[in-house]
Order: sequence, then structure tokens, then C-alpha cells
Amino acid sequence: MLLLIFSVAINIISSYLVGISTNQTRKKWCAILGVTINLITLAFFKYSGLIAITFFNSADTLFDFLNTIPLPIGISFFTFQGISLVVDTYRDELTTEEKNKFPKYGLNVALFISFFPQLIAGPIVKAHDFIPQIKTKTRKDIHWEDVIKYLILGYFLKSFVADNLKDYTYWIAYPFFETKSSITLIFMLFGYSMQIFSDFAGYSLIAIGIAGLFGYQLKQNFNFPYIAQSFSDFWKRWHISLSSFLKEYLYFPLGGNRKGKVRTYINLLLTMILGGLWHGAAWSYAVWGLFHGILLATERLLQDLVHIRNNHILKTVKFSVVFIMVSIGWLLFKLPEFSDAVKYIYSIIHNTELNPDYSNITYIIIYSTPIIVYHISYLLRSTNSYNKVKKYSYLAYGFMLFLILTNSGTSQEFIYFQF
Amino acid sequence: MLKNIIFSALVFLVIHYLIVFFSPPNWLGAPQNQWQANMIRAENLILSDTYFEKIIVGSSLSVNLNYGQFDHTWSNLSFSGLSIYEGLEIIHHLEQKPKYLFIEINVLLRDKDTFFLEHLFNPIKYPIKKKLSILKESQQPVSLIGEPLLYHLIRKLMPSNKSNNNPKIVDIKKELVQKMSKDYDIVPIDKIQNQIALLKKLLTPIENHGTKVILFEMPIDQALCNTPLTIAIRQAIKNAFPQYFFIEHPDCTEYSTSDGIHLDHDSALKFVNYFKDKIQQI
Repeated sequence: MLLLIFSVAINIISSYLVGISTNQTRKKWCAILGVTINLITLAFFKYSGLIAITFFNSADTLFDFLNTIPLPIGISFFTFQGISLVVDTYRDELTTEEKNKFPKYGLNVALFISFFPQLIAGPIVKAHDFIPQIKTKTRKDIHWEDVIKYLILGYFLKSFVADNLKDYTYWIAYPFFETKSSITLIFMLFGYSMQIFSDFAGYSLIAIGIAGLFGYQLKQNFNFPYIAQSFSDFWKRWHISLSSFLKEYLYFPLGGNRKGKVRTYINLLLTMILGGLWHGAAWSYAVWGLFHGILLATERLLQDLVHIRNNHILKTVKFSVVFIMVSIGWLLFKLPEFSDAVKYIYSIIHNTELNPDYSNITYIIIYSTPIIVYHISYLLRSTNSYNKVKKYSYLAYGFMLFLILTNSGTSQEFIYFQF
Repeated sequence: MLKNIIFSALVFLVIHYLIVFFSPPNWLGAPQNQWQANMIRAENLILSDTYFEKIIVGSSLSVNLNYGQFDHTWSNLSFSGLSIYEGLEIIHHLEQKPKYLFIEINVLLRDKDTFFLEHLFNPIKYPIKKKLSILKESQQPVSLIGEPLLYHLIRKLMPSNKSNNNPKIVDIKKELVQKMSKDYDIVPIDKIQNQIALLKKLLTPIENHGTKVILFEMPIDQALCNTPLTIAIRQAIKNAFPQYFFIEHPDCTEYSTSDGIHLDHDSALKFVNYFKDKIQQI
């Protein structure tokens, strides 16, 4: 709580000073100071443990001190929002009306930073998207149908899909996976891909729905990522608020793709490594980010060198490659020890002589089916038959509500709370 | 739209209730996973009006103790992956305590899982489940299709004739026993004493209701059966509870396990007969 108050105070002061500065140099320095304090706060609370393990001996007093620093919940999200506020103010992306008198401005910023629906696990909201919406709200500002749909779909993805799948992907843990057959391991990895999507997308939808109850429209955070046919497309569909934040506030300021090919690849790798590290204070997350960075860079290189006409077979191959590689990447989330992730892949290759775990496979298929249907419905959205069926969508929502009531898994913390 | 959604959800609930009501008894109740198996086992006791004269409390070691060998006066409150303390806490909630309580001592040192108990006795779900049986774990809609339909279909699509005595599995099991034997050489005296104190605290109010307590020890792999840890636990139990009948483990060399601590099918059946013989003496 104290940290949140501190973050709010720093961002109010720094962004206000940026906003009222007429001197460009002073404006720039205020912005740099605001961003730096946000980053130092994040680094201190989030990465102190990683710094301790990497640079200090366990016998050092500083090692003990750094390891005891707690990780406040939501810090990764609200510090990024603070950075967004300061930078947007510097770029004059907030209108004059929004740069109100200090008391009102302070209250608006406090609301923006601490808005509870997305405080703990996003979506990361940008200042120029949220602050213009701050005004007295009435019931007319609430789009009830959308709110109900978001909440039902969100709770369904979280409590029916993710919370049930976790009981089967639990065995993706060393040494349990060593006794599972290759096919079981593949299904478990597939199940984990479905689980992490449902968990996070479900939370995001709930956050959007609750924000909607207060008359605030938050942007979508997921756009059917598992139908992506390229890695760049995947990152336009997965955790959109983070990827757009990284693009806008890191990739573009680094030069984006405007400084030659080599620099573009470096910028991509750096952005993805830092994006990976944002997820957690462990080198495995940096490796995950690097993995995606290499995929993006390689894809860009191949697109420049190879030109093949798109057909159905190629689209299927592309979609499959993207899905498989993304799923392999999720192993680093589930198994933060890099050696365990390698052992898992090794077990997939070598455990062909073991019997499948039919029960595990059956329930992974059952609980993953809604995600597959969800993505297929998106692909069919412009067809006539879909439009005919769409008027009965209340049956689908009624069925989801029924399953939430009768078939929810045991609740566990949202996976992205740990970030 | 909202009214349509709620109405259709109610319709699905009614359909589900009718399916459950008219289904053959054996079609329902198959647990989807270990956690749910534990929940169903617990709910079958706490949400039932049936009185069970004899209750077994234990872990995965004794979870298959009935195997259809015991009559309707028995209830097995053993939970895979959990300790004996969850079962004892559940018994505290029962209005009518059992006449006989059998407690497995093998997992004395395992801690109580408060999350399991909080979930079981959730202040909102628990009273609702008492009134609406279709919300019980055993009657989840997925259980209706998972086991009977898809499970067998998946088996047909992915047939496998591979032996369970695969050398790789045998090697892993040997490795597991070797790793466990290192743990079984360590005797955490303080922990044993603390758990004994907890056990006494939980048993006193149950005993005050006239319940007779019987302790028993499951046989495990012969390499682990008489290690410093198992001997220490056995002795500590005998010293702390001399007043209780104690069914000691049979000769471990006559039993085989799947992983060092869980009896395989044949050994489990053998132990059930041993157990039944011993309780005749009580």
C-alpha cells in the first residue's frame, strides 16, 4: 500500500512538472527523472533477489538483505503505467483539459494508477487511453450486455478451463514428468498452453468487465493468439497491452526498424529480453524473451529472403510452427530451472516406450476444447452460418454460466499475479 | 440478453439434475483426478446422512484399503497426497462420531493441508452443496462424459500394449527408493514430537465422544521398512499412545510396492486380509 502511494505521488509530481514546464530541457529532465524513479522502484523490489544470486556470495550480508526484500503485488503493472503517464505527458499526448489544476490532476492520476480492476495483473493501461475517460459516470456509461459477457467469459476461462487444467499440467514438474510417456508429455504441454491463455485472458476479461461496471472501457488484452500465423502476429494478439507498451516505449525509442537491419534485430532481441525479464526475476524468463526475440528476428530475416505464395497448406504449416514454438516457450514458465525444461524435451523424445496416461489425456482434451472452439468461432466469424447462429449466443453464455456453477476447478492464484 | 442467459443456465441446471437423477449409480462419481478423488471421498461422508461406525484415516498408502472388502459400516477417509490430520479435522465436524477410528501412522510427519479443508468447508459452497446435491464434486458434468465416453474412445484411438514393467520405469522406481532411503535415515525428533502433540490434541475430543482409536502401520518397501525414521516414529507412537491398540506392519519382505511406499494391487489385497484378521482381535 505504501509503495502504491509512493508510486502515485512520484508520478503525479513528475508528470505534472513535465506538463507545466515550458523549458524543453527542464521538461526532458523531469521526464527522465520520473521514468528513472519508476524503473529503480521496480528494479529494487522485483530484481533484488536476482541481483543477489547473480552478483553476490551467499555469505555476504548484502545477499541476505537483497533476498529479504518483498515483491509487492501488481508492481510490474502500476510502475509501467506510471512510465506511460510520464512519457505521454512529455510527448504532449494528453490534452490541455487533462492537465488540470493540481488537486484535480492529482486525483485523476491517483485513479489512473490505482484503478483496482487492472491494478494487480493488468491489462497495462496507457495514460492517453484512460485519463480522457475520467469524469462523473452515470448508468448510461455502463454497457451492461458487454459487461455481463466479459464477466461470464472471463470467469469461465479462469474457473472452468484454467483451474481444471492445472490438475493435469501439475505433472509438468521434475521429477514427475520423467515417468510419463512421450504422448502424455505432449498433451500436457498442449494443456499448459491452453491453461496459461485461459488463466490470463480470463483475468483480463474479468478486469475489463469490472472496469465496464464503473463506466471505463479498457482495451482488449488478447485477440485469439493461437491462430497466429507468424510470431509477429502472435505478439499482436498475446498480452497486447504489454507488447504495445514495449513497442511504443522501448522498441520505437531504440530506433525500431528505422536504423538498418542489424540494428532492427538487436532492438527486437533487446525488447524481447527485457519483456521476458518483466515477467519474472529469473534468468529463465530472460531466456524465454530471448527465445521469442530469436524467433521474431529469424522470421523477419526469412520474410526478406524467401517469398512463397500463401496457400492453405502453408498457412496450416505456419500456424502449427508458431503454436508449437510458443508452447515450447511456455515450458520456461512452468519449469523455471532451465535444465528441467531441457529434461522435459528430452523425455518427450525418449519416453516413447511408456504407456500413455489415458485419464490425463482425456481430461486435457475435454478442458481444452472450449479454447479450440473459441478460436474456431473467431475464424468463422464472417461466414453466413456463424451469423445465423450468433443470435443464439445467449445459450453459449448460459451454458458457460452453468459450467462455472457446477464444474469449476479449485481456485488458485492467477498465474500472472506472480509477475 | 441477461435474462436469456440466466434462463438458459437454469434450463441446463435442470437438465443436468434430471440426467443425474435418472442415471445408473455406477455412471457417476468417477473422480477426474487425485484432488477430486479426495474431495469426493470427503463429501461422501460430510454430505451424507449415513452413519459410519468405522472410519479409516490415512494417506495414499491406505486409500485402497477397502477394495470392496469392507461392509457398509466402513468409510475410508484416506486422502492421496494429504496427511491424517485432514481426516481427523473432518471427523471433528461430524455430529455423530464413529465407534472405531483407524489411523495410519506412516505419514505422521506430513503437515495438514489447510487449503483442502478450507475448500471442503467453504462457507458459501458447503451449505449450498448440502441442499443441492448436483453441485457435489462427484456430479460434475464433465465426469458424465469424461470417463464413460471419451476415456474409452481415447484408449481405442491410442492403443498401447506396452508393459508396465518397462526397464526404464523399473530403474526410476529403484532410484526413487534409493533417494527415499536417504530421507528415511534422518530422524527429525522435534518434528515427531510436534506431530504427536498435534495428534493428541485432535484425538482427545474425538475420544471424549466414546470413539475407540486403533493405530496401524502399512507395510512399505523392505529397504525402507526398518529404517531409523520408521523405527523412531513407531516407537514414539507406542510411547505416546500406550492405551491404543496398534496393528503393527506385517513382514515387509512378503509385500511389494509400485514405488517404494504404495503397495501394488496383489499386495494391497493381501494386506486387507491381514488387517481384517487383526481387527477381529479388538
